[in-house]
Amino acid sequence: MLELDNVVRSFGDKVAVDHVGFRVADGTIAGFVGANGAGKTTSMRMIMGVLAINRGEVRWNGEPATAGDRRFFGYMPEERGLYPKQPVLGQLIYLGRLRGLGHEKAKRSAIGLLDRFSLADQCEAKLESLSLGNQQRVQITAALLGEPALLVLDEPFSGLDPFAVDSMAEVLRELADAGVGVLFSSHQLELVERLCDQLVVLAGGRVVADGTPDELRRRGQTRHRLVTDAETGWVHDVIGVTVVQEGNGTAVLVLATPGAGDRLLTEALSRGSVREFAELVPSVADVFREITA
Amino acid sequence: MIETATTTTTTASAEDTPPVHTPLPSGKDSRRVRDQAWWIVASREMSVKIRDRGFLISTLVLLALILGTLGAQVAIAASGEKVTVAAAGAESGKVINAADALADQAGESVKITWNPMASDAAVKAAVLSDQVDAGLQATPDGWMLIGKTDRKTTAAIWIGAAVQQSALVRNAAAAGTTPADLARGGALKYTLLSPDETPEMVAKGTTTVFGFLFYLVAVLLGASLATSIVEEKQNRIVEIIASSIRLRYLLLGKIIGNTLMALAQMVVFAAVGVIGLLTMGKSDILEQITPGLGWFFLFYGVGIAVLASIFAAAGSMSGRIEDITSTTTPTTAVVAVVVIAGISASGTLLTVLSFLPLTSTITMPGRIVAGDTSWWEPVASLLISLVAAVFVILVSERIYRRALMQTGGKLSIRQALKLTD
Repeated sequence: MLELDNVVRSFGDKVAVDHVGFRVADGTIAGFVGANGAGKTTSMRMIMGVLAINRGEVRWNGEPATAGDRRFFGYMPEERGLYPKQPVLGQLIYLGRLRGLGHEKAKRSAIGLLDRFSLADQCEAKLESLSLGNQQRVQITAALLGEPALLVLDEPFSGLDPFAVDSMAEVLRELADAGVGVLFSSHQLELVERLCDQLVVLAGGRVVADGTPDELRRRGQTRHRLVTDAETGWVHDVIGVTVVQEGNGTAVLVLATPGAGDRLLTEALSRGSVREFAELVPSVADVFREITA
Repeated sequence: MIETATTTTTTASAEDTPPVHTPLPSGKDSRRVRDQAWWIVASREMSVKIRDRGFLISTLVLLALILGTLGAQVAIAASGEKVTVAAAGAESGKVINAADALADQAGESVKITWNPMASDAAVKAAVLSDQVDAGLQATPDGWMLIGKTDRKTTAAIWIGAAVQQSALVRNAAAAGTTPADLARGGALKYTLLSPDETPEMVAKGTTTVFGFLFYLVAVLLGASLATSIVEEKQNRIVEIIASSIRLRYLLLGKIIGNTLMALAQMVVFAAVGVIGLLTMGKSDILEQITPGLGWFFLFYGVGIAVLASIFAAAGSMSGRIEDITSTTTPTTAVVAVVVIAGISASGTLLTVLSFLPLTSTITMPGRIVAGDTSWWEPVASLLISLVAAVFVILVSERIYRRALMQTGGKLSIRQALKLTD
């Protein structure tokens, strides 16, 4: 299990990461969301030991994370390219060897993974000759070398077409099912909502929310939509109802009590026929906008 | 899901102990990477470089330059020493043959041959048509050499000597004395007190050649090293590497790999030079510079390592490939100054320079070749360079480590040193 405990990092006067704390359990996919500059990349770099921590601690299985531990963390930085002019397999072997795999083991691991991504025939191709999606697959391969216990991926889905997104999501799910903890950052909130077991929302260097997508959605305000074939101006006068938006026979409302819903529906039926009366559960994206605003 | 307080205790605290938590059965055996991480990096640097077209082309061009220079010298030596002189009459022929004999006695490699002609007019025509290198004619008060555009100086000296000798013999007989009596007291002997030591010209030449090669290799090495660092920085692969090994080992691996490649390049150049000297029959020069050659490689290795770490720091201060020139130019300029100073210095300045890091790279081997040094001098100079190398590598590592995470534009040295890890 990965654990960040009150981690702080500042650059000069600017505090980039401000007492950030959260956990990612083994076998969990955790989405790391936040606006640009919220501190996601800085946090990930500190997890990977690439950037020094000013205060606080990164722990692995309850102990301060060591360089030895981090050799079992697969990492994919944000701007990627590896070595564009080098053959795919060669650079994967190199990175595997740096992580402590022997030459043979690194090679076997790399070939196995490339095969898994249907890139086995591209071993000797230069990286830059591959399509963007395939380059991304090589990137993730680099992170997966030597069976990591934790994956830290900075924007793994950016720039991928929908098919590549699906196959990447599938890979992450598979790894999580095998017990690997996954922490990835993304701006694609629908994807995060669909894929993640856990969401960590960062704003201004602080964690503003941490929980399952359901828990997060429940933090938002549930609204109701009423659609009738008559005018809806009367909704303003119903007690216990706050109008968010109204017009053209449709009203979006917040109900103070369940009783207010009954009153509203009765009134609507007396004025004409009701086409729709439904609960609007906010999406993660809605909640994200609400809590980071 | 939010993890509740389930703590797992592990024993993994030492850096080298593999953690016990791997979810998958394999992959935790031999992850003792730090000892050899620098070597993994160094060997990759070398294998990439040996396949790099730029490196191969520049090596070949330099080789061609060396071969060309040697070849040109061979050609000059072969063609410049043969002079054909046209002359009419047996008397002229005698003078020319005597000149050749005199030159031969003096150990001069010039070959002067007589091309007999029917008349002085024929001699003139032969010279004008480039059939011969020069012509010789008798005049009422002596002799005259004629040429078309150039004077053949060496031939003129020996023909002049022959003319004087024949005149001396003739005049002595006329005066009733001997040539030996006439020339008495006019002999000059030139004795070298240390004929076994290296001539100054050879020592100076060695320094110049070594200095020139040092400069070329330094510039090539610097550019490629800085580029490889900025490339890794620009596409952030350095983050992946930094999460696997310490940056110190990455830097060390790069410095060692590139230094070894530069040394290998020098070995090839030197081998070609040696073969060239042997073909030219200049094995005496070879004997004179051989002791310096070994020292040169030693000094060269240390000097290149110092330069490589300066270039590495300079490279890491640029954020993009486009910025490399502006951060590496100062280093290149320093190398140029070092080489020029090393080549042109003499006396006390030379002695001082031969103890300073970088300048010693080219001046100390020159002094050793010249036989000016006691045994302790190269050793002391080498030690000074080594200490400087370690110091520069430490400072460079600091800059490298701190500047490597910076991606926006280029940094000044002061900014780079101010950054925190």
